[in-house]
Amino acid sequence: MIEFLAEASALAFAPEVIFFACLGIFVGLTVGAIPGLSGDMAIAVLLPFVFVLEPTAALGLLVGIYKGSMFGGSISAITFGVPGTAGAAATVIDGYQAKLAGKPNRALHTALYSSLIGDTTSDLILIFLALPLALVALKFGPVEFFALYVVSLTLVAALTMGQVARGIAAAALGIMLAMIGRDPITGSQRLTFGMPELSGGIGLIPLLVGVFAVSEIMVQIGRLWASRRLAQTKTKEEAAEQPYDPSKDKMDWPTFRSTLGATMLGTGMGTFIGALPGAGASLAAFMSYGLAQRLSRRPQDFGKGSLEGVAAAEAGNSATAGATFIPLFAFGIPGSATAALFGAALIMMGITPGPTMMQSNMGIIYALFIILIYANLANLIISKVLLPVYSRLAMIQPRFVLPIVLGLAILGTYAAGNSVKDVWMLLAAGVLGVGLRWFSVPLGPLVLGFIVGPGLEESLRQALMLGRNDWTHLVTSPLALGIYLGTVALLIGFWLFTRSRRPDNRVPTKGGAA
Amino acid sequence: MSFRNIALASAFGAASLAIPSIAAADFPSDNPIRLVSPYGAGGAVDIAGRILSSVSGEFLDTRVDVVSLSGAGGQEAIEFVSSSEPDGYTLLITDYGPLVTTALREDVGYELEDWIPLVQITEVAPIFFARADSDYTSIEALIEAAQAAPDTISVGHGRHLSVPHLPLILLEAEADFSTIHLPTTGGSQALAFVLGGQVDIGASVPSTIQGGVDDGSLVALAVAAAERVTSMPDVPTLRELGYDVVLPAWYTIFAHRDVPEDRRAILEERILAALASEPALALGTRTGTDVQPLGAEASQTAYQTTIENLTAILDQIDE
Amino acid sequence: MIALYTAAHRDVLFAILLLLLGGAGLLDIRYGAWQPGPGVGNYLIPMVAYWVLVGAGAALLAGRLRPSKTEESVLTLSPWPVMAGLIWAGVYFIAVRYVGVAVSTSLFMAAAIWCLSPSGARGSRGIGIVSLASGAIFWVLFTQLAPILVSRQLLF
Repeated sequence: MIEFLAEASALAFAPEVIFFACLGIFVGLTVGAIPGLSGDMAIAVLLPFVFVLEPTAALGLLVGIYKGSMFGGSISAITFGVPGTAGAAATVIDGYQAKLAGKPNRALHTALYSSLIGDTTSDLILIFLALPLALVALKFGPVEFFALYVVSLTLVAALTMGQVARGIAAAALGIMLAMIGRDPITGSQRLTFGMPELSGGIGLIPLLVGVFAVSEIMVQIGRLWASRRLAQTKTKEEAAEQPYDPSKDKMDWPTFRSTLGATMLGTGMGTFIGALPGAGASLAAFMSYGLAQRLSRRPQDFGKGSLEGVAAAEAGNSATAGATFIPLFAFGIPGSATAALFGAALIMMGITPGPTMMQSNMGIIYALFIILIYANLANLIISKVLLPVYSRLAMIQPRFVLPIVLGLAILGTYAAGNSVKDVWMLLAAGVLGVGLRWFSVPLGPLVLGFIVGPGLEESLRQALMLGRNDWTHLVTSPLALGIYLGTVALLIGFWLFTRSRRPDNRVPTKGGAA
Repeated sequence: MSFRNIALASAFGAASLAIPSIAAADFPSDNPIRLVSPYGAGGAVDIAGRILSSVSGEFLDTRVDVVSLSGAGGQEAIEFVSSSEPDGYTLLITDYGPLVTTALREDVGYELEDWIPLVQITEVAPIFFARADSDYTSIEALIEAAQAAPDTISVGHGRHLSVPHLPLILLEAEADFSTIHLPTTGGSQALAFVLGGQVDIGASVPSTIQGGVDDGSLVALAVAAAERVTSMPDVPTLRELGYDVVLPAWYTIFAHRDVPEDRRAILEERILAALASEPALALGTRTGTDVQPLGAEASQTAYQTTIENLTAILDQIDE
Repeated sequence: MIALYTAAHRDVLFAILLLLLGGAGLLDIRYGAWQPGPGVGNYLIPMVAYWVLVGAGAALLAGRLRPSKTEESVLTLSPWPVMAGLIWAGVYFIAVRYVGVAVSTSLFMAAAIWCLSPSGARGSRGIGIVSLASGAIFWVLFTQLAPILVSRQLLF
């Protein structure tokens, strides 16, 4: 084994490889920050470089793009409220509020550190525990996936205490939006109301960016306009327009320590969900976020700029990075689009991902592992340089920032799909978002419902087919039962906990659960 | 200026007017060629396209970019190519699922005759497999058990009516047994479910299960092709076992009918040469793709045959 | 024009919308054209979702029947700036397609920033500089970088 390590190190630390990894990180950070463009797109386009470059250099480039784009999406989410990638959707909720509360620097650094911890842990688990975790992941069949999706929706829908009915309605609305287009099992068209434009369904990017970013921009434009015309302004915008004082927004050890618990939670959840083929980074991020709120000492801060919320969402998101390769390396099963792309890159190099991969290609695979780890460090260094710039950018007066970010969102969405209808969907989703905010309906459950909807439907129908239309089949699996019972216990515990705390809790809530 | 200079200048001027028309004759080298695939990046069709793109510089004088547009069940890719300029720079690479099956089942914006096959890159055989410790390690065992207990054995087969699903339907019709057909998101999920014991049997293509077969965790039962798969020579064909189920899937490059015939001919010739070259064949072997290019005429025959077969099958099962 | 409605009014309105939407959906499933498929039909999850919408609407109404004494913050929003913003966005996109990124961006950003600036800050050169700079940056981003990264004959 030692001689492989030596060979692998020689491959991985070649200057060319380090150069391409850093280049990849830059490209990834840029692409991830632009709403609509994702790291996967860049990776797909740059795959042919596998033929042109040395294998390890090509892998370095692709890994750099992957890691960079994950964090780039988060930077955009916190700084401008635009989820640059789907995985950053849960980060927007608290990250952007943190910036509005005047702490962009701390939020960005929290995101960076928890991403780093999540990603590195997940890479280490890939290296040392891939096979055991993959075997556990294999135990997840339709019944278990259904349980996971139901539980994730419940957790997130019930996040805002006192607004459970609205949260659940939002989740159901999100699921319905996902149903438009083709049904995942038979491929036949559904809910298109005779409009061929809808036959492809609603894109995730227009919906995500529209519901979160465009609606937020619209709301802020409304506020800005109102505050312009009123002589006395006592709105939050006053605070935002005050000169930003970076010295009051420094990241320090106590702040970091307070988020560590949430980071660990996110790391565990993200690694596990990342290893499940098909589950996805957004699901991991939302579940980590939801779970962190339940177990936090200050749950009422979530949704208002809680750094714990940012840490949990980011760790959950980033911990899928290494874990997504687990099914690929263990069995040749690509569990995500990114894994499929890396699988293709390996195939193009003559390496068949799967059980036989390790024996015949130890040098390159270990070099890949080493690159995965040091790319995180490179990402840390490069980001540490960029973050103060972004913090400053974040606090530029809204009247400059809002139109520019809106323009960026529009063009980015168009660039992603090269389709005009995506832009109209973006604006329509923005209107939907504004409407939902007006009704005080939380946006997170809507987006999660949309993301999880197809998987939910597919797993339910698969489970029923396997159980021959017997609904009790859904609770026959001990794993699924465990997931359901665990969540119920958690929710009950949380409810009791908030009830007992209410006399001390100054935030007014409605009585009861709805 | 002297007369000589004027004469030279005029000569250059005349020559430069002639150059565009010479350049126009160099059909593929003006722009990159885009091969649009209706499947996700990283899949088998995508890789087949990338084999061509790896040797394109030498044979086609231009880049070949593989673009993956998997939206709307693959229809997005087809619509994109149909609505592009028919200048031969935008081509479709696909198997029969999104192009033929969907067109036969619903109203799409094109006719099957609108697509002219240029080159068939390879042919893949649908293959049935099970976990090595399964009770059903041969087709006979499977059929016997299924006949004894109908609708209890589950088969994960990719999407509904996809490349691996149709042979299963045909086999059941021919051997008179029935199982639970479990649609999955694709071959990978079928593989995952078989390995995890969620379903008893899987149906996919050889590239998905090669790793598992090589290391012994999976056993392949039979292929629905005319000949055995070269990478798995011990796996019998269904025909050998007595069931006439042959339904391979081709990966073919198509051009829209409106692309001028001379350009189609140039593309066919160059692509065939490219795929027959040493580097392409070597890359094919490395990636597990059995590159066996067929020219336009043979591809057209395969296309027509597939359309006829599919029409018959779909009528049979009433879709 | 500040929004007039209290949280209670809005919740009731939302609940009614949910009931209508859920009800319409359920009727559509009962009487509409839904394609059959293997196993349970593809109307299953939509049906469950519609039922959930109806249930949530009912729960919300029931919750509002008990008058709540606590103060709740709601979003106050004037619709006109929002509509203006949407129209700006739509026209901007159309302009980009016909006139090009650099010019449209510079013009539209200038217009938007000017509108949003308080009257004291309207004449400043900052607006001009930011608009031109954003025009240039968008141009680089979307006509040079994006086509390479997304590899299609894009945009403008």
